[in-house]
Amino acid sequence: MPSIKEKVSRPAKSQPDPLRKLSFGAITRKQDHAKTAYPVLPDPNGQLAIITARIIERTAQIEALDGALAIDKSELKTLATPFYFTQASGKVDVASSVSAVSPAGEVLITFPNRYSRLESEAPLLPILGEQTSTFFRQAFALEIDGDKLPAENTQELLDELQQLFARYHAAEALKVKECIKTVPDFHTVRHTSLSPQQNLAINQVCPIIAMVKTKGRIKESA
Amino acid sequence: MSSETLNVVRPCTYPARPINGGPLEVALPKPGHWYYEPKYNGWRALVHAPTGAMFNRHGQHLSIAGLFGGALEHLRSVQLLSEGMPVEWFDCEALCRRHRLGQATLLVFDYISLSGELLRQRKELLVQAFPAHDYAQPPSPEKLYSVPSLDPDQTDPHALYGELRQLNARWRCLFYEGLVAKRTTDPYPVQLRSPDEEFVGWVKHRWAY
Repeated sequence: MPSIKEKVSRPAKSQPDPLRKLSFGAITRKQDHAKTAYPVLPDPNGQLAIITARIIERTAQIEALDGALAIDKSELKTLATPFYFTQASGKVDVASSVSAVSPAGEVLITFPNRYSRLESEAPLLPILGEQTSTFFRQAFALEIDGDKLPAENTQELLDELQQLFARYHAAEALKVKECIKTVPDFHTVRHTSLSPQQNLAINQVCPIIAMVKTKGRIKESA
Repeated sequence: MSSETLNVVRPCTYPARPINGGPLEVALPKPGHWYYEPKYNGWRALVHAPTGAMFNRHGQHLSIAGLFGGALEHLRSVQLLSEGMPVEWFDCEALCRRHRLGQATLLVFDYISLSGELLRQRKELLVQAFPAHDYAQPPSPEKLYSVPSLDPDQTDPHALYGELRQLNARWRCLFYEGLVAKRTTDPYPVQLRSPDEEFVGWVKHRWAY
């Protein structure tokens, strides 16, 4: 009579444990994403909870206000920039700011001599073509400040520097960080040498770091 | 794709970085027209579709890129044309490790348009090209989805914000971080100046507390 044999599993072969790891049994394991448990400040009368809630609430309000303000300031700068380039066009002495007025007061949109650095000159070429080098230049930094080297000997100095490091088998120790930035007088010559349209196009690629100021001007008395 | 090829590819922009708008409950009204979309808890990835190269928000190669083979294959299989030119770069959220849902899935929420298409147009094209993720369902693993936007004229962002929070509780993980508001009239802010440069046309609203 056929019978069904219960399949008894063979005892598993004990695997060698190359790391000889310890067993921690029932000890609670720290979860990967577990929050660090800090000691909690005693708060017998609930005063700390009130302050804590107030900080959280006000932080959220500040973030919301900061965000809304950033949008408004950006909008104002975007709207003021074409006017700035148009009214400054052809002038040597250019006003640093333009004013926006309202019944609540005035704000200034300031256009300082501050520009973003570019990684490459490529986006400037369609706008400035061969004139690019008149307004922009390569800047770099090793462990030394490249801006302070004599321009006429810079390449020679760099070549010698590399040779020097190579001689000591330390060429890989030299790291260079380079970028494209405006020439020193760009902020003034742009208004006489370039059209407002060119300046606006450059501003898309290399924006002037404009600021919106609400304080610092004394209100004229009526 | 060989590692030599991948090393040659360099990102065409840093991914757009939203400003912080605070929690939506206290946010002030925004001027202009804005769409809202869920903010996913994943890794930001700028993806070069032809090579499959993936970059993080600092413009560096993403170390987890190897996990997204299936999603990348799907991305490569679809040719998206923007003003007649094939789209090569996609702005995505890569789901991996932060939670257990949708592992190795890519959520495409934008693409880099060199012709300066506005967000509204880019979003329309994306949802036509890829299956849209239904925010009320967890995404399947190793898939590719587009992220549709919600127009506040049709859907209340506050209701969505609350719903996403409830979904997190139901799914027992921080799958959503909040909402991102995006101005519909902006082109993608292409820039290689700084990974820290913020774009005011995108505003994140998170429930961080």
